[in-house]
Amino acid sequence: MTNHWVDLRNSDVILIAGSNAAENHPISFKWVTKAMESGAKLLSVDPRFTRTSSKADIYAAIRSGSDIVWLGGMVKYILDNELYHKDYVRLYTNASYLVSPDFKMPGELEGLFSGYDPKLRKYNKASWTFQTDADGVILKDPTMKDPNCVLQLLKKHYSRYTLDKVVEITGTSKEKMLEVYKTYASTGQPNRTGTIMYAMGWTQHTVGVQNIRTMSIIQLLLGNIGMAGGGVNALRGESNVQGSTDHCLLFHILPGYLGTPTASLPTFEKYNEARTPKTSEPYSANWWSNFPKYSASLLRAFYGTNADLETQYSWLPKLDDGQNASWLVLFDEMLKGSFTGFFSWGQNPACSGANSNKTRRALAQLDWMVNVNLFDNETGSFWRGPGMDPASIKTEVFFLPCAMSFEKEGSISNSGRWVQWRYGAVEPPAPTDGDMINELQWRVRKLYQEQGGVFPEPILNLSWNYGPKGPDGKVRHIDPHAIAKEINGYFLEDKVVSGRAFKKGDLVPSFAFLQDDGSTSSGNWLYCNSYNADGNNMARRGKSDPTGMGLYSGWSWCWPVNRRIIYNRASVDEYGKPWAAHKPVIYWNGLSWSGDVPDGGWPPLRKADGTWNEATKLPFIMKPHGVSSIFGPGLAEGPFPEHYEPLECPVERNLMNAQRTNPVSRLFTGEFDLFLNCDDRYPLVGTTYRVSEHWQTGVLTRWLPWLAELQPSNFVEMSVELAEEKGIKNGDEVVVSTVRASVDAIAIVTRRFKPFIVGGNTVHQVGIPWHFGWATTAEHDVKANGIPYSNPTYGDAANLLTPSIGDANTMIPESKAFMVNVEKKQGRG
Amino acid sequence: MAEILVKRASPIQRLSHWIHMVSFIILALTGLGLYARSFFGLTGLFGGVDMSRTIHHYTGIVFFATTFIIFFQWAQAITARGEDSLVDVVRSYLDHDFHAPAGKLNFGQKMFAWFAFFGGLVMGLTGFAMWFPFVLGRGLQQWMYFLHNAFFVGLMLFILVHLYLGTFGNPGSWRIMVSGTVTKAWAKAHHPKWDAEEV
Amino acid sequence: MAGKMILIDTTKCTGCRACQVACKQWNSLSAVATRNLGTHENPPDLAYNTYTKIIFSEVEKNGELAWYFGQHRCMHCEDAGCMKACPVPGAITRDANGAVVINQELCTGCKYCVFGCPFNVPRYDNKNAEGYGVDKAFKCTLCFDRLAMGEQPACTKTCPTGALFFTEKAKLPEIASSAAQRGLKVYDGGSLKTNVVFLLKGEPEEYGLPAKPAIPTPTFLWRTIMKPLGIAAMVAGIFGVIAHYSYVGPKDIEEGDGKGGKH
Repeated sequence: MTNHWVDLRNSDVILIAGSNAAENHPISFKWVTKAMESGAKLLSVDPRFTRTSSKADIYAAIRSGSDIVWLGGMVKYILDNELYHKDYVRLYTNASYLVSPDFKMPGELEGLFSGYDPKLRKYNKASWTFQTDADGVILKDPTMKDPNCVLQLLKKHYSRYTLDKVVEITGTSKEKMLEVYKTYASTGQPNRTGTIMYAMGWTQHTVGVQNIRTMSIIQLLLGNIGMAGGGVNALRGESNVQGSTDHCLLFHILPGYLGTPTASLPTFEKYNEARTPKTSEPYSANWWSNFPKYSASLLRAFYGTNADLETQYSWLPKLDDGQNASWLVLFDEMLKGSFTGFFSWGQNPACSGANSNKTRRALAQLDWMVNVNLFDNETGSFWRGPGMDPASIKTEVFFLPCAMSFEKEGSISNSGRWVQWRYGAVEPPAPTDGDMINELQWRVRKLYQEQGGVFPEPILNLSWNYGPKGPDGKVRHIDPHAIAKEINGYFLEDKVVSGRAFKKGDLVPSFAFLQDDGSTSSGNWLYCNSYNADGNNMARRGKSDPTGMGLYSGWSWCWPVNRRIIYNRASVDEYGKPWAAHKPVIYWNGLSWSGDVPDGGWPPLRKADGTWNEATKLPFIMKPHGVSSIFGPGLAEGPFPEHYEPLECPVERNLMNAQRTNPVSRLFTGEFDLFLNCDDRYPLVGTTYRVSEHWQTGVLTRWLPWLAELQPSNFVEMSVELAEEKGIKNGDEVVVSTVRASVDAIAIVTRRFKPFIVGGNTVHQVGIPWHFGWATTAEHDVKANGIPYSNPTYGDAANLLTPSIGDANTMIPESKAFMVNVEKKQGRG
Repeated sequence: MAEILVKRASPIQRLSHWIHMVSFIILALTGLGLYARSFFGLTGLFGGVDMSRTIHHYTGIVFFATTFIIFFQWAQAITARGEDSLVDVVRSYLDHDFHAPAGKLNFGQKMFAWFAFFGGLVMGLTGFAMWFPFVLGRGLQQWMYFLHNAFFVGLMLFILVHLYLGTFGNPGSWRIMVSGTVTKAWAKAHHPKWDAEEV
Repeated sequence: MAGKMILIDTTKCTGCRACQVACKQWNSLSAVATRNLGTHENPPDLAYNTYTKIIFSEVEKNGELAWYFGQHRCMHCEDAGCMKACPVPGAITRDANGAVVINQELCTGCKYCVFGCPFNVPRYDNKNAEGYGVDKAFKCTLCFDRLAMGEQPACTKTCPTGALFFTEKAKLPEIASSAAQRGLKVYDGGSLKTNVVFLLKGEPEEYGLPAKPAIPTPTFLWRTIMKPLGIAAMVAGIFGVIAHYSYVGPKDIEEGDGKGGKH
């Protein structure tokens, strides 16, 4: 989230799409409700009338996988009616930038941007650039009239996204969608703000990132970024996903979003050079120019001070150029036998990964697997699951217990970037994860010490000062505070920075003090400031709200440097006066900023007398040019989002352009990678979703009788019309199938799903939750402590149905739009 | 001179009535305990409310069964056409010298018999409904409680009169319960037609 | 009475059912082994181990779909049908907060309350599988034990959106007028004066509530009319008999008549 949960209450219009926040982020609705009490309008756009829709002022139904179309239609509506925030767009976005005349768009090139290579399924982005003068400064047209300027290109691109086209492709109601446009576009007025709450309903598509890009463009046009009650707000799918992403859950980044080294960057110097963005824009802060400070501090946190930075860099693992090590690829490789072992730590890939049969089969190719969890699950027991022959499976499975988050002290980073310190509520019955990793590293290190091995340095030189050590040098018990302090970072020698003297061993006050010479450490520069001389800022529980804007800056701590709303310098005009005077995030008092922690302390763009302030910097400090990107050349599919159908879709051709599906998505071609499009056998659009009562694959919640009682079963929701067509009655046992697999479910026949008319044809959609799995079903004789479990569930994983295809940028699987069939279960009444 | 005795009830009829009577008393006492919170103390007589209620349930079966037995034992007399009327009954209560031209049963007794039978039937049926309350459905079941209580009050009133008339009100009647006989004079006075025709 | 109430603003309820779980947790109630019955609702009904349940109700009017969430639970009536029906002194009581509570120590399992409730709430159980008591009636207690400690009920405490809200009953007029401005109906059980008050957007029936809640007619006739009347009649009957004996006297054949003669 650019903003945070409490800030939702400051919105005038809340759009919830690609999310069922009321059900899956129930606490968020505390703030949505507060906003509505103050007169805010709630808009819900979803294939299904959800619990969120039930609270909305306007609900518009759309077919899964068509979000770019209706969002593109909104861009067109805003531009056609000139409802955008003109000053904001001119000052704080690249709308006035002139794009290379070689740049061509899908309207001209059969659905492709210029530079497409069909063999590599990749773009050459040479034409996706800005025109510059001799000094490299980008050419701009402040009037935004030049046909090559970003705003005009945007207008041209989305001129194809007419309302009729939107209705034809999405299957929505024209009136409802127009109401949505009208209401949301009203936040283009400077003193009004709108926010978007989205979740996996937008990300889990082959065009997931572009879905969000389209919305970001809308937010920039309407001047909603940096504003109270605005922003682009991703509702994370798990309470600490933000933390795990910040600390490098993903293969392509190191902690703090530092790009993973690649084999073609052999030295630290080259690595820093390649990863540090450059700009010739005079007023751009280009904060990422500090990259070498953060990378050096990270190396110091990893390996201490007993080697120079270049050596330490050489110890870091490196990706091959172009290597993708994301989830889908990992399991694809596992299936091919590329791995011998696998730690499944606090997860359940046999249910959570798309195309679960592929995942389950991949696990059978391993020599060993360690399943670390609170309960046995479909992953640890995959060898005795449906369709498996235990005798023929070689994988040796070890099951290790672990502690639940409530059983250990530490921090949780929520969607609003608040890093909240928690104490352990109860003693864990098993060792904590930290202690297990401690044990693991100790033994691995010992093996390397005793037996040597290939490339032992990264292991032997690992800095491991996470608690009091015994005489053998082994850490007795992991101290979370030691870890938190290392993440914040230390001064490793006496040093004077910005006129302040620090001693060796002092905690670094904030990332502005980090050094590129190896004199500081920081496990994650974004978290530098979380644990410093003031103490553990994450544990703060101050309840005061001096600004009245719900910032609660004394409650816990949030990154970066406790800034509650990022890009907040875009919330003011050239003179530092808030666009929305009644809900200021920050304001310039003539000498300094008041309110939230500003994005840098530079003065506003203009002085009080109207002259340009040479000391100023543009507000989007993390962007190389200081402004936000309406034209975004960074993504794989193109600088402007274009509609492509899901890999499996109900139409034979894309009604928007000649490319049916994402032209740059990565295709898998193994025996389990089956896809069928527009096939009579699978005529229904399927999607997956969650319910309030279960969490993820349900490993924790299916075992809790009170929750299993509430949602005991896999179900499939379908329209009354479809049920009639299929002869299915409410509560019937049915089978949901794709070309890949089939899953048992109970039919919920509801008026909350309605058939869509897409391209003149009736298209039905159904939805199924993904929380279930065979391990807790009665037919697999589920037992708790040796006696039959009181609340067995029904049905296996919905992800058996979903395809192995991912977003072209992130590789997140497309589990929100695929083609299925539903039939009454044979032999049942 | 010895009284001339006339046989009015067989041993089996007496036994039936005794059982009926005792069961009614038990039912009344255990029932009253749950009739109103002010009578709740009565459940103490039977060792607490649970025992009291259990006794009520099984005694109810006995009472319900004897209701039928007694009715059929006396069915002929109850259904026999008499010459007396309701007015005669009321008059005979108030005027000692008046004797209605009653047969084996006078009009009042027949009225009582019908009510005892019908009331016993209702009490039994509604009682069973209350014992097994989830059979009939909510709406109907709610009326069962009302009917059981309404007929309880009705029966109590009738039994009160019955008891009085059979003891203090009409001396000489009680011996029917003891020996099954009445005096010739009693028979002639109270049931002249029966006395004339059958005795 | 300085009563409290639970205000249920159904427009804020998202059907998350945290209240159902919180209720079970606080009251140590076991889970029901359920199956999906073609609805998100579960367990299927209130029970000895289920004191409250969210009702999911899809309503389509003039082509506009609405999804209402109601709650089936004890309404803690000031004129409580269960208390009326209960024959055991002290088995169902109302405390100063307005909580109508069944005392399972005293409950005899007669089930009168089960059928006396206008909202079909108390549930009878005669199994002792989990030690809740054999042959007893069960229902929501308004967490009177929490109230005694100065806490609010578990359900209102846990509600994330403030749809369930614990407040002073005295605030009802104020709440009612602001609800009216929002176009909401106040449902407070009419003459029953429930201490659980709903704010409704639709009709009561669309939330599983009776449109005109009242003590069931038979229960009213039985407990309010019949009971005192019956006692009066029985007492009158006794006095009547005594009066007859005193003023009219017994009809002694041997003495009063003489016609029978002395033999």
